[in-house]
Amino acid sequence: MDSPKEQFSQIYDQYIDKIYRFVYLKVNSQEIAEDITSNVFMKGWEAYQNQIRNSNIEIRNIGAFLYQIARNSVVDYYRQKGRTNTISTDSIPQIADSGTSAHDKAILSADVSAVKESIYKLKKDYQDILIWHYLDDMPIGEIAKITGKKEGAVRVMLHRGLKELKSLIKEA
Amino acid sequence: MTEKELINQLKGLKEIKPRKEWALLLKSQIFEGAQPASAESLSMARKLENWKIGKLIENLKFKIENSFFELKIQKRLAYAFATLALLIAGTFGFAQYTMPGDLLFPIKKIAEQTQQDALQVAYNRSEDLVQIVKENKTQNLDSAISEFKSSMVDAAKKLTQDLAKNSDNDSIKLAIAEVKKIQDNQKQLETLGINIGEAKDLDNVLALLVQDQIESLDEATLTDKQQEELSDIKDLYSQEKYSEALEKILLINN
Repeated sequence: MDSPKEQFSQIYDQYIDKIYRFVYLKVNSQEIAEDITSNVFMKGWEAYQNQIRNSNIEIRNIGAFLYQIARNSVVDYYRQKGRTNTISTDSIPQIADSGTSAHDKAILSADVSAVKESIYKLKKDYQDILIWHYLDDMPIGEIAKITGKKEGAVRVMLHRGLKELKSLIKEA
Repeated sequence: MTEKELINQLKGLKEIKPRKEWALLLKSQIFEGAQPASAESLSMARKLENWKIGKLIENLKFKIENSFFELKIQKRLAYAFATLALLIAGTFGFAQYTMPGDLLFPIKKIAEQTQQDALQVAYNRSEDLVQIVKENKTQNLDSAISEFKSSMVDAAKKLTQDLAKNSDNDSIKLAIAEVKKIQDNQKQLETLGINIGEAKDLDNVLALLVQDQIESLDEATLTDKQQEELSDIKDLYSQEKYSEALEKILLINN
């Protein structure tokens, strides 16, 4: 049987890209995304070790657990900075890294970059669900579990999220 | 834009991935670090990494500048060595024309001692002395006489050693030739009014040599003519004309 280190190492390899991308799309900055993602996995590893030491604690879905830490960390980040995603979209370019970075330009097409910028401006709940479902291929049932919503409500949110994203892309 | 197209574009965001080196570093930090690294500390780590890169570039710059500097130093050293070599060569060359009492004469002496036989050096000193007297260089006279006497002592020692090792006719012939040249210079000096005294050390060596030869000739079977010549040699020996006596000995031996 694998040691806890080996087990978490596999979890790390499985989720590092997903969690980083999830955070990156919410903060639109490579540096901040790296910092927050680091924090997520540090906390995740701590919790994983605690679970092994203490039989009363059980992490049933490690992926959902990591996403939850990531969401909270992003919220903390904006809270600390006094900037939440509910502020006016006009001020957003001043908060985050300016527009499309050279890194993004190198790997993303113009259309995809536009989607990225628009996702960043999207409401937080829509952001999460769109990223999970379309980027991380998470089933609707899984998203429902994480968010504590009914599957139908998740479908509606997905539909509304896409609609809003579309209008944001048009505006850009 | 249709919904399907939008979803396709959304899926294009899957290209966003973390830097590989950062992901590896984080993984190692998670498992190595006993204390969980905070976002701040990782940020610090990044700054440290950037600082290290900056430092590396700085070091590289310094090394390049330094190598240029070293190149300059090497060039200067090369010039310095070349100048020094020229100076030494020039000094040695110039020293060949010096006389005893001159500043660079010790250099000439050193060069002679490494290249020439003691008898030849003694002859050179006698030549120097003759020239000094002829050119009336009175300030060099004392040094020249002293050098000549000292060279004669050295020559006598050397001759004793050489003849002890090898007293064949050729060696004796060569030694006699050198001694005769020195004696000629001595005579010349006497005519110029300079008497440096007898070269006793050298004469003693020659005397011993003549004595040995006379003893061996006495024991040998000689013709009447050779007996007469031996008698002449003994006369020359008694008159302390050792080099002449030796010349006659060589004739008998031949």
